[in-house]
Amino acid sequence: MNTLGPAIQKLTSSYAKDTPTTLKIIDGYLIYILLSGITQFVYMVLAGTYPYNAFLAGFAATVGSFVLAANLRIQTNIKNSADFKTISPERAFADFVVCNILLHFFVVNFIG
Amino acid sequence: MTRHNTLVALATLLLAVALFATSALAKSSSGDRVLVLLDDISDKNLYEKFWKSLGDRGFSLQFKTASDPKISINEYDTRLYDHIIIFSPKTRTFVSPEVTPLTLVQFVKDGGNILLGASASLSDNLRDFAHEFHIDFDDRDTTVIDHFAYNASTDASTDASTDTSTDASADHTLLVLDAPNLTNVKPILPSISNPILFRGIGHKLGSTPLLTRILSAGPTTYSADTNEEQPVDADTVGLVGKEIGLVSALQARNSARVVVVGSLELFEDKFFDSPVQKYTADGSAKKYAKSGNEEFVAELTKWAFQEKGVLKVVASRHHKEGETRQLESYRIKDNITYTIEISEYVNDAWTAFHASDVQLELIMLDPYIRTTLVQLPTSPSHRSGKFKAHVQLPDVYGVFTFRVNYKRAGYTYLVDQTTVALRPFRHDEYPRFLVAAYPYYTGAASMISGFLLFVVVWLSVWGTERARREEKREEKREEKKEEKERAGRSEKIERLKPDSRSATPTPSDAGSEKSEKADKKKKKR
Repeated sequence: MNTLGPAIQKLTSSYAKDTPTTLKIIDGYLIYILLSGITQFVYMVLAGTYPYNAFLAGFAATVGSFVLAANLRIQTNIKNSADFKTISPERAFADFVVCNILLHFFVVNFIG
Repeated sequence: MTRHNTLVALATLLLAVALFATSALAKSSSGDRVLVLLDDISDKNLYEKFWKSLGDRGFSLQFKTASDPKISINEYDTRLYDHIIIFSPKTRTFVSPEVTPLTLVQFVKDGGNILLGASASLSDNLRDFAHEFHIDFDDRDTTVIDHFAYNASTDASTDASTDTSTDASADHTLLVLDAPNLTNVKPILPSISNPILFRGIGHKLGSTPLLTRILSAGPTTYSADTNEEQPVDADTVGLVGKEIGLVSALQARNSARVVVVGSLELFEDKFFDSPVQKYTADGSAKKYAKSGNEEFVAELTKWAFQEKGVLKVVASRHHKEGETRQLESYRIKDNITYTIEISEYVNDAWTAFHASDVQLELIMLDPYIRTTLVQLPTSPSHRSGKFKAHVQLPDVYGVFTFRVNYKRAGYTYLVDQTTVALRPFRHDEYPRFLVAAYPYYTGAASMISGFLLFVVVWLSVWGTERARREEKREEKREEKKEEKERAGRSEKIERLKPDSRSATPTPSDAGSEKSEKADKKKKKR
């Protein structure tokens, strides 16, 4: 237990030092999506599922965005470039943008 | 002056006669060709008043006897007559092959009406015919007898014409029937003022709902064989009490009417004119100079021959509230209005029908909605009654039938239906922009705006980072290049260095090997 504090400290300091800025931006975006999803879910638990399609659409927007952003992080991380020989970072970003557009189109259609 | 008076008197007399004639006239709504079947042509004289009343109402009567071989009911699959009166109970078989129980039933199926008069000597042929309509006559030679409701008025003219009976009052077969014995179905019979005389055979009715009892016997009546001794025991008596039907009717599913009367004598002139007094122990019953038979027969035949109690649907339509067009498909939970117009045939003309129990059903395998239609007030000259209902269509989508199914005793059966499709909500017809869903709307909007912001930020950062990385790579490459050059240069320098190295022996001579090596190098050079 007494090693938890120094461990966390080491984690945060090495994160701040070693992680490239682009990945840090993606991490910030992921945390923002997470908060939004948790808020919607808590609201549904409190207020009930009445317009169920609206809840599903809003929640699916957060989940889908999270998944796509996480994928972008994996595919643009330079350290993983050996695993993605056929997918350049530009291609990864293009996929991310197209998938997000599709996701938001469906969300707006289903939200009623 | 007197001539003027006589002319006026004559004119008013003619007018009165004309009015009287038209009021008595009530043409049938389904045609006026009547075929009358008799046992013997001489029977025709017994019912002169009856033929006259039918003739006054516009019917054209054709009299045929049972022995006529050329009776034809059907020709090229159409009926030759609209109504048939069968006053031939004794006939065992008709000589013409076209008159059998089956052809008569087919006549009813084709829409013809039949009036059957029976007597105690009813043949098996006609018994079978009546059996087709769930009417079972009692055995041959049985009569209905009532020792408490017979005609006490000793008029010789109503003595039984058959030679078996001797004393009319001891026979007790001439029954007197009044209001409690009559049906209360108003479309068939209004109330008859005078009692009715009946002498004949009784029958039992089946359980089909198409049958209506028009005249039934009282609780003290029984049906027994009159040839036997008067005292009867339980096993010889067939029918007892109120279950004995004396006059019954069946309205077939196509609304054709078959009326079965157990007494042929009921139609005779002498019964029309006979005085009536019901038997009571102290002789205190009211004495009527004339029986109610004529009135009863007139009303009964008016119903039997489709002159009254006839309905038809003139029009039916449905539309959305606020519109007028009738659509083939509506949406669930739409508000629609259904209107139907029904006419009744009264006194030779179609007039408005008045009722408070016409119902509309919305059916998809089972009725989802059943609602009573409200009668709208219309002008007195309007030919049909208007009925209207406001309905909210059910919450289930599918193919529905709007049906008005009006089946009442004494009236024509009405079934009017239209098929309508109900579609579910379109995706923009659901309730939208609900306050309860605002968090979800803001969540989704925040995701979209977050995505756009992220793209802008990330692209700019990634671009600069990438540029920096490229620079670093370039630098590294440059460094590597320089190192290589330096290494190459140092080698060159080494090679180009003069003999100074071999001339002066270095203090750190490891041994003579090195100097030997130097010598060898020199030699090689």
